[in-house]
Amino acid sequence: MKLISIVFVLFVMLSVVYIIPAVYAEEENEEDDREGFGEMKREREHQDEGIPLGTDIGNVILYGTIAAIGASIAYTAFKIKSSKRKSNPKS
Amino acid sequence: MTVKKTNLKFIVFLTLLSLLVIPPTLAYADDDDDAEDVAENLGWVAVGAGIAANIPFIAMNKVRRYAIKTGSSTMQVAKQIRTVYKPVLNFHIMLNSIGYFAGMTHGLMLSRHLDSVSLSLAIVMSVMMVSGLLLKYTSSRNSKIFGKLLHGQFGLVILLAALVALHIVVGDD
Repeated sequence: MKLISIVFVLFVMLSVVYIIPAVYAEEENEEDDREGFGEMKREREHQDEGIPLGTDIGNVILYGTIAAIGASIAYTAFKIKSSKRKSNPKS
Repeated sequence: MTVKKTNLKFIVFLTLLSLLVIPPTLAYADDDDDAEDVAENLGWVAVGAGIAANIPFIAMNKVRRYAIKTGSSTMQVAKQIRTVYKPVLNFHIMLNSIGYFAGMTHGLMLSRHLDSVSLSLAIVMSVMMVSGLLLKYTSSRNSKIFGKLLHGQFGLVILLAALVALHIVVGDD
């Protein structure tokens, strides 16, 4: 029974995730065609976007994130170990 | 029996995850404009789901902790929050799952524009998701404590929010 409810909830989630963006995308496309924004959009696509991988800032962001995640995992492990040591002072 | 049930849940979860991620990239592969619009909207779905899932949940936890800390006069509030904790937790899990799947699909569909902010965001989101799954499905006490501490790290939450904001700013330019 519980499994059925989980599958049902996941099915509803999937439907929501697929249907809503697709409906809005169609509406936006129609508006774009009417007002002639399609070409502007295509032009914009050719420009460089974001902070590319391999640049200085890009590397700082990426390696900074990985370091932060590593540090928080290490901190969590340290916290668990120190609390265990406190509860078992002999070992 | 419980282990079997947990395994079954994992299989269902992973099957649905792959079903969710693979078809959109194939279905929209031929039509670039449609694909980019859908991908963009999926990104906004992810942001909206994340805000709706996390702000009420974090606020409720803070209020509950404060009520317990301050003592007997506010204990009633803490008790009332305790009764609605489970439904709010389920809501948090469900919306965050929607946000995660939507965000990952958005990322896969726009993978040719991959930049360092997007990659960092995907890594942080995956760490939060894995720690949440660990917290929810593991039966080992140590893994549960590890998941709880990692999932509730304030630094990771701040990092996630900052990366989302940066991703929106960089993506809009």
